[in-house]
Amino acid sequence: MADANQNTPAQRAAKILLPLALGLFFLASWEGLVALYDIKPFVLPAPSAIGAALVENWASLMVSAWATLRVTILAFVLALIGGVALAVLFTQSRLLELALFPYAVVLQVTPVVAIAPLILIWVGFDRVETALLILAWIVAFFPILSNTTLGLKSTDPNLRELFQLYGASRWQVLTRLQLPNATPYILAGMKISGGLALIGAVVAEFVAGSGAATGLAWRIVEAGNRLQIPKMFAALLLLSLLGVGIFFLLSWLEHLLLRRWHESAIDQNAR
Amino acid sequence: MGDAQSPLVTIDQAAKTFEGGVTAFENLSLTIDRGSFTSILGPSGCGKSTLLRAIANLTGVTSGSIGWKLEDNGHDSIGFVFQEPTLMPWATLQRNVSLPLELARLPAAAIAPKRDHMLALVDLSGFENAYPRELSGGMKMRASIARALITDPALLLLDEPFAALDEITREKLNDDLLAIWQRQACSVVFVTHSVYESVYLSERIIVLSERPARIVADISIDAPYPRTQEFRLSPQYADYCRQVSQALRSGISI
Ligand SMILES: Nc1ncnc2c1ncn2[C@@H]1O[C@H](COP(=O)(O)OP(=O)(O)OP(=O)(O)O)[C@@H](O)[C@H]1O
Ligand SMILES: [Mg+2]
Repeated sequence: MADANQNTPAQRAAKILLPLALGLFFLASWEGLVALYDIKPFVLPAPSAIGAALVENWASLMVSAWATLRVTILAFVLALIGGVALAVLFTQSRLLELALFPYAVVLQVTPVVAIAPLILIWVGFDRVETALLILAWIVAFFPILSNTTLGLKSTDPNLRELFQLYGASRWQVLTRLQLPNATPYILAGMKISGGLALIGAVVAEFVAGSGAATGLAWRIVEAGNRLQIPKMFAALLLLSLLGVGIFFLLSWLEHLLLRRWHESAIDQNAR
Repeated sequence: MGDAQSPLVTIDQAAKTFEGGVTAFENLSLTIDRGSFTSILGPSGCGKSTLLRAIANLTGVTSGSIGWKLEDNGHDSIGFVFQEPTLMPWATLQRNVSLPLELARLPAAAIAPKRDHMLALVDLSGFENAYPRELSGGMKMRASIARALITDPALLLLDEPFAALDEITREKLNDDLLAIWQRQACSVVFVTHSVYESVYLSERIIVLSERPARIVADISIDAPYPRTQEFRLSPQYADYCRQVSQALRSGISI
């Protein structure tokens, strides 16, 4: 913080090299310990064994990763649209908010694992992907809704009066005042929701189980059942990479959209 | 200034009581002439902002009336400058300044020349694409004034616009405001709690008592414009300041 030139080339390199070196050291120790104590692969596979499993099962793992990612992205996009749309409706009609908000909360506080079997039965096991989508959506939806509602409501009262003074229409107030004001809030909600959509998709897959699902979570269950622990680790690795990827993508989007005006995203070296 | 005594706003026996029972002002009658420069001076919390918002019709009065004598073409509008610059942080300076015209759905081609003229008037040319956070406090205030003036309003309402600025910037902006007022030929109602500022700027000073606000004095400042540093150093200025100060104190019961 106090350091003004945080972004000199050397420091930027250190930012990447330091975690990388630590990671390599960790992997090497892991490899070494597994070899040294002769740990069985079904207890803890060495990184090299995990790598081998990854290469060996590359095609099927990629298919699974794509299946999970597709559900995640779809659920996330629908949560974004639904959350923002509902929040906008809430700010336009107090009545609607009073009527609907409790149900949104109920949806949020009920654990997804608990509703998953019900949704699966309702949607039918022949349409598992739709059920997964609904479950992931339920998990991802609420942060967007509550953050957007907060952002739409927390406009500067003086700016609101200014819009009133110039006879702005409801639409103009929404598009030129409330939505821009809500942008940082929506983006913060998106960062939470992106991760939650993935978690929702994975949890739903676990519950759906029984070979109907084809995503990474099912690969993990399946590999576990067959004691193919290296493959299990490989699937796990891909899953966390997906999560990290989603997070970075959304952080990058946030930075792009807010860097000129919002305190949270202003370049450190521009201060 | 202004063509002899043509009233723009007529406040008649107006009173404002909030739901909680706080009365901001009562039995207040006042006429603001076209082209005049009027300051409203009063102790903190007496109801100045509320009065200004009532004049702009941002809040209603509980009794009495606030009437507008509109021009025949009906083109009278109001510019409002808040105590804070109140700019949209997500919009560039030029988008902020052109907001009133954009809300009126003027075509971009019609907005651009007016906007550039306004920016030049408040000495902000070259900062069109800067965001509010990249500007100093004084620059933001000037942008706020430019935004208020862009509709060419018949009435410009300012609510302690320079209270948060340092003395030098404040004096500079006072001179800028006077220059703009003389060029634009609008009426100005200027709320302040600085005796010196009000005497330097105004043709007329309305002194309010503490809450509920009544008018305790209505003082004309008979000094020619343009006013300069010389006026600030004149005995006449000191006399007026003393007179206004006394009126202000007479409205407080301590
Ligand atoms: N929306 C409101 N609801 C209830 N009371 C209010 C409201 N707005 C203002 N008041 C009250 O009205 C009184 C006058 O407020 P106002 O803001 O007009 O004072 P002011 O003269 O502008 O003060 P200052 O010089 O400190 O800005 C205050 O006592 C305040 O508590
Ligand atoms: Mg005030």
